[in-house]
Amino acid sequence: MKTSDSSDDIAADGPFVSPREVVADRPVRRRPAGPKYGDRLFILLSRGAASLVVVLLGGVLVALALGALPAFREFGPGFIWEDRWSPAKDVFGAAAPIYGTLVTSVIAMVIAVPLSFGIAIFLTELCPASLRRPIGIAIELLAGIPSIIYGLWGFFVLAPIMQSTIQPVLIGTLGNLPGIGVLFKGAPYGVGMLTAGVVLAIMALPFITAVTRDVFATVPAMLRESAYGVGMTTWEVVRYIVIPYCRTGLVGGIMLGLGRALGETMAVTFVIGNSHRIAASLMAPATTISASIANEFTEATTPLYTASLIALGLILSVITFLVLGLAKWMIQRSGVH
Amino acid sequence: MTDTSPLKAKVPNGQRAARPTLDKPTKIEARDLRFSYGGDREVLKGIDVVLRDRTVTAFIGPSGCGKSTLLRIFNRMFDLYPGQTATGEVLFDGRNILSKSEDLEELRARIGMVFQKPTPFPMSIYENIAFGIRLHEKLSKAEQDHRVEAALHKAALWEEVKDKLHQSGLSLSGGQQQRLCIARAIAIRPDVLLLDEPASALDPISTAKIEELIDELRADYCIAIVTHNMQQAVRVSEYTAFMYLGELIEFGATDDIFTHPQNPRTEAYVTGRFG
Repeated sequence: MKTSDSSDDIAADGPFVSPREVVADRPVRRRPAGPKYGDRLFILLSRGAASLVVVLLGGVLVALALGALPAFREFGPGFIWEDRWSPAKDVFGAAAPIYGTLVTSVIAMVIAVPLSFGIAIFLTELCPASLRRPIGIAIELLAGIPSIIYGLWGFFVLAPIMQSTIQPVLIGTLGNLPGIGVLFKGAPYGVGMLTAGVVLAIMALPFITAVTRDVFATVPAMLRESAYGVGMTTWEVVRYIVIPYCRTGLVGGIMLGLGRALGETMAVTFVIGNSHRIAASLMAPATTISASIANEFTEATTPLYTASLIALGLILSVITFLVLGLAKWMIQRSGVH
Repeated sequence: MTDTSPLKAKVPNGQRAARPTLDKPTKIEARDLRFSYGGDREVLKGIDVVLRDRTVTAFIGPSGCGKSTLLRIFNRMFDLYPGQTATGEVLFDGRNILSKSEDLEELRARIGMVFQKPTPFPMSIYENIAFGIRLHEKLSKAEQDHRVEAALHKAALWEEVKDKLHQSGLSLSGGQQQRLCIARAIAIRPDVLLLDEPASALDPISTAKIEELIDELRADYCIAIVTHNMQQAVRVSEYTAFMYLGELIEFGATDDIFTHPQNPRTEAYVTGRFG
């Protein structure tokens, strides 16, 4: 009483022939024993490619260090925390560009991280399947726009809007608060750290979103369902299950975005205002390491000036390495997931 | 087909299913329930079934027959996936839970679910249980501690974890994790427990513990269990439903399904001749 309508029965149609029987009547020809030169060459080439990375990294660092040496010899370690930058008197200190770099990157992260999480949560938890692809493609396109375009847009479109609308509102409201009010005081210049931070946020957004979305997608469907199964709302599932489950990957995504924000040159140069000053107000014009280098390289007439710019580059490399190292350390420390 | 001796041989000695008692009230009733994952193909083609209170009902059938799908309708889990639709009626204490106005969080608090694989939340053992409680009730710390302990006792896990309540739920073995998930489900005091192959990823000893646990829980809950293990269905359930290709082929007392099946397909399946 075998039931033949079981779908498992479809497979066996003709008589079964094993692959071994098909080739049995051909003579077996194995490749000759002995050294395989092609494979040796292949191994050598791939080893060479890997070594090249290490050599390049070392070479860049050595070149930066040698180039920066005159500046450190002249100003000592104080180069890092002195803020005087006077080409006319041949006196240089890196504090202002370091400060500008860090502040603009922090502004960018404060804006981009919550936005990216929101987009990623929408894409993985709420979005109808038909919208998922178009939104994903839009994010990838956003990542593909050259930074010079962001710079032009920031200078000609965003900065006037910031100057005429957003900054006056911020100065009028947040500027009056005790404590954080100091960050929103002063005149609305349009260009400055806040505008640069906004542009950087838009540039970092697609990177953080892409990583975050991929990481969120690794949460097992069964774990999400169990969370909904005890009666959690979507927000509770995201806050208490998805984000804790993914925290390592999320740190990685944020650091990737931060790395991009720290080193971004062109777009920032347009909207930062290029002023070697440390101001408390986020509205104030400032400079970043990469913007200083890009702006002043052609004007660097004295050897000390050039060395100081190269020293700035060395400092940026070190900051970026520290961020990456911190990310790796946090990922290892937080364990399994 | 009058000789039923090969069938009886499938049921080991002394492991006869508990006789159902027909006086238990109906807890969940599905009427002409149809389900589609999107598109025209129906995965469930008009299911009528009754789950009684304080009774274990087993759902058996070959893979893809719709058992798990049916379970996931009872707590509206399919709602997470746009496009999946259920029509017909599912009456839970007489109210149709397929209605748009159903409060899903409240429904899922009353109809708990345990999955094929253990799914501890990424938090401590204590929090795995306390978290669900806090979603639905405001309790004092002492009451909450008490409730967590009671749930762990009930899930036969307390002795094994009482000294490490604040370690990660992921530090437990697979069998312990699954009992943690059962404890998590019963801690929010549901009426119904849906068990979707709860022992399929576990070793025989852990499986035996889960089955013992189900036997304990039958006194308090309406339990629906999906299983591929027919011995397990015999051991734990009072009623069995045999499903095939989206239809409920046969439903009845577990003893009858396994020893005197009415439908030839049920017989073929329970004797291991297909599936």
